Amino acid sequence: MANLYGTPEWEKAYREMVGQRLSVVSPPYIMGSPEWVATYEKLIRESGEYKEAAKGWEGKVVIRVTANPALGLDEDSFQLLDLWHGECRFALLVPRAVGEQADYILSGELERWEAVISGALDVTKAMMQGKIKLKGDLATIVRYVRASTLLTEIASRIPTKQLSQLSSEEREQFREELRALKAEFGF
Amino acid sequence: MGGYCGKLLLVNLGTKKIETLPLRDDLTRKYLGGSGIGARLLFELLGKSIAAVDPLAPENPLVFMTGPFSGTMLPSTPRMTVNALSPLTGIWGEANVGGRLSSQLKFAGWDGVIFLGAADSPVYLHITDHETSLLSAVDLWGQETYQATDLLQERHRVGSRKPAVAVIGPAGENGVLYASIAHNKGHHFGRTGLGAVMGSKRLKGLVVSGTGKVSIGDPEGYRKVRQRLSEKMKESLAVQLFRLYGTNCGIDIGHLSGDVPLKNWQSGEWEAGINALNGPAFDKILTGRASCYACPVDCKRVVEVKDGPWRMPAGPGPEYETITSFGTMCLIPDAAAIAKINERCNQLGLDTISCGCTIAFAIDCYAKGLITQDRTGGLELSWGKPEAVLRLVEMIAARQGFGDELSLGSQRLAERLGGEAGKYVAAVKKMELPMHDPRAYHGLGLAYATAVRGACHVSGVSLGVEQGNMLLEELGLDGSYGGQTSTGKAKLVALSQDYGMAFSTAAVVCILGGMVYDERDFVDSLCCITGREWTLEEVMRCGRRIWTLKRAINLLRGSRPEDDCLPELVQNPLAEGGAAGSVVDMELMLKEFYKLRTLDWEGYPAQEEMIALGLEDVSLALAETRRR
Repeated sequence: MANLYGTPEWEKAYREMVGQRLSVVSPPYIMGSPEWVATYEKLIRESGEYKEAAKGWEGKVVIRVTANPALGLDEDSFQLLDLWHGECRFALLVPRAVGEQADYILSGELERWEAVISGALDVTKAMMQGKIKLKGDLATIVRYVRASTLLTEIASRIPTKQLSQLSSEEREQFREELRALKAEFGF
Repeated sequence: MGGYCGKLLLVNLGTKKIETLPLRDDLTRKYLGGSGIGARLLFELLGKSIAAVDPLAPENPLVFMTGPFSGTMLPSTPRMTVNALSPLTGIWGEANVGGRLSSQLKFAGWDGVIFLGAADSPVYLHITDHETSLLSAVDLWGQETYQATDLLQERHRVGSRKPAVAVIGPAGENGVLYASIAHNKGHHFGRTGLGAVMGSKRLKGLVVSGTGKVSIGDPEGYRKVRQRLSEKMKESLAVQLFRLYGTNCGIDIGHLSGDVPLKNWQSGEWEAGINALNGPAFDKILTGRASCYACPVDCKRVVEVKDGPWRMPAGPGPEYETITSFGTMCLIPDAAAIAKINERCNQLGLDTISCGCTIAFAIDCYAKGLITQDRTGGLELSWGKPEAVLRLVEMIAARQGFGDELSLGSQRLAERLGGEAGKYVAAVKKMELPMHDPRAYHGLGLAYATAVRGACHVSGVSLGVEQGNMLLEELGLDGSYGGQTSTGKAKLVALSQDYGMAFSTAAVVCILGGMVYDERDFVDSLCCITGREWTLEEVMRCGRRIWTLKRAINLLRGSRPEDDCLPELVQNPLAEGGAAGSVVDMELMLKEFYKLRTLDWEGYPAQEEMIALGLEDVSLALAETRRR
């Protein structure tokens, strides 16, 4: 890893990488790619409705997508949302060791998350059915049901290309990109 | 055979004669237990008189029935049912309860108790391992349920072991049509008014102590199924939520989806009120959690209000249905006030759903000028006034003044009021809707319209399936339904009713357990407890048989297709909230449902269907009724 997560150098390099990718990649973005996560960050920040619903929320949320090598995801992916009183301080892809320490972790298989993002699966139903597992203080989450629902709604507005929709060439390319990102950023 | 004691108590209150009846093998095989067997017993006991019997007459049998799992250590199974013709609806009546009554009854060696006739002075039934006796309740008559429970538990305790007690309060004694039967204070056989049937029989209660065990047909299979279910319970988010906030855990999300009724079903948004009535709001008065026998969930609340106008000692806290019936329906954003109202309903022995909804209906009529102070005896009714609601609760139980009219339920009150009042009632077959809005879940509208005890969301499991909290994938109910569509819902409802009849009314598994048990768990549980082979197909046929039998009882009692309806009030679209603009297509769903159920234009099941279900005698009785 070129830089260590948590250092200003890491964050600077990450932001530059995202900026560079956004300048060359056109939407729709592959779900879970750095440009997809950056767009998610932007949309959360723009949502007045979310700001209102998440007033008082404190805590980092991780969306953990479990590996699915057949679809191009060789390792678990951790998308960290640092949410604070209605603000999205940042949304980043992070290394496993960081992601596993988050206050709240929502874990699910890639197919489940694809269904959630496409609107085919309600995230609350998915949690009740055990299709998406929740780790974190339940009492707090229950108080912010509206904010949680809005986060899903916002994610569904991102122009998204699902991994399951990629051609084999696209999938291999994405796999290679992830390997390169892991070497540089640790995720 | 495992799971059953093999015998029933037959108690004639008129003659004071107590007999033992064998539990017939055909009953357990065809009707499983609970209200499945209860319905069959009622049909046989009443015979040709079934059409004409007044639910409050001595001839109406009152049947308390356990299920095959009651008294075992399978999670979510300590429930039992009470069954009779309902004074509220005039048709088939049933209610069920958790707690410890079912296990104590099984431990004392009985699968159920049938009461016939009426006593000439108040009595209660005392059951132990060795004897059963009818004892005088003259000193208990008039007492509230908490007081009577304390007295009976003290009187019949053995060392530190207290018996299970089920009693009626003043509401049941006075014939309130939605009187409940209170078990150990906080658990209630709530719906359909069977507390009034007990009152009409001058039966104050049952006191049960048992020390035996329930036999298990296949102990090794039982061990494995228990282990599997125990693991699933630990993993289940639903279980964690119910432990955290009780049955009220879903009120926030329910409000977002439009499921929570507001202001007598006429509003769609009330965020401030929901925030004052949700789990965290009740945490401020929570002092403990309690559970039913052998249940790991601990969904029951213990609350205490230490000061202020709603002061109450630590005691059973309100369930979701109570919080909404009084809180969101009457617009009372005050957890302590709701806890107090719940305490008084418990003590007086009132079904909180029917009581809260009838009061909300009266407030609505008052606001619209359909009820005036002449009628209320000078009492001013308005939204958000807990003092007035509490006063009405007392008047209802005593059937005093305007309370006497309210004690009849909202449908009968609307009929008395006449004019526009009927537009503001939300009842099916005279029973008030439970606290889930069918505009958020259209299948629920059909489930209400076709439920066999009047509006009900627990005798079938369609709500859980529509909400996605229950997955029954072997039955094709995979949790992918949208709530606000009527397409495809008839099949969902019919399947959910068949499954629910077997699962929650006959085997009497807690509906919360349905979020953990799938159909394979249920069938495997039946096999290992009874030691018999069961298939899912047999279970579903059993459920269909029970639904058809209960419907036949209703038809024999004069029920008609027009009774399979959803009230206009909940068919009007809401202007705001999670279900804004949603309109239930009842015509489509009913048409499909009638076809699936082989019901003809008069609502009768096809004769071939009834014969295939082994209901030949019921079919004959229906044919005779039609000829008349």
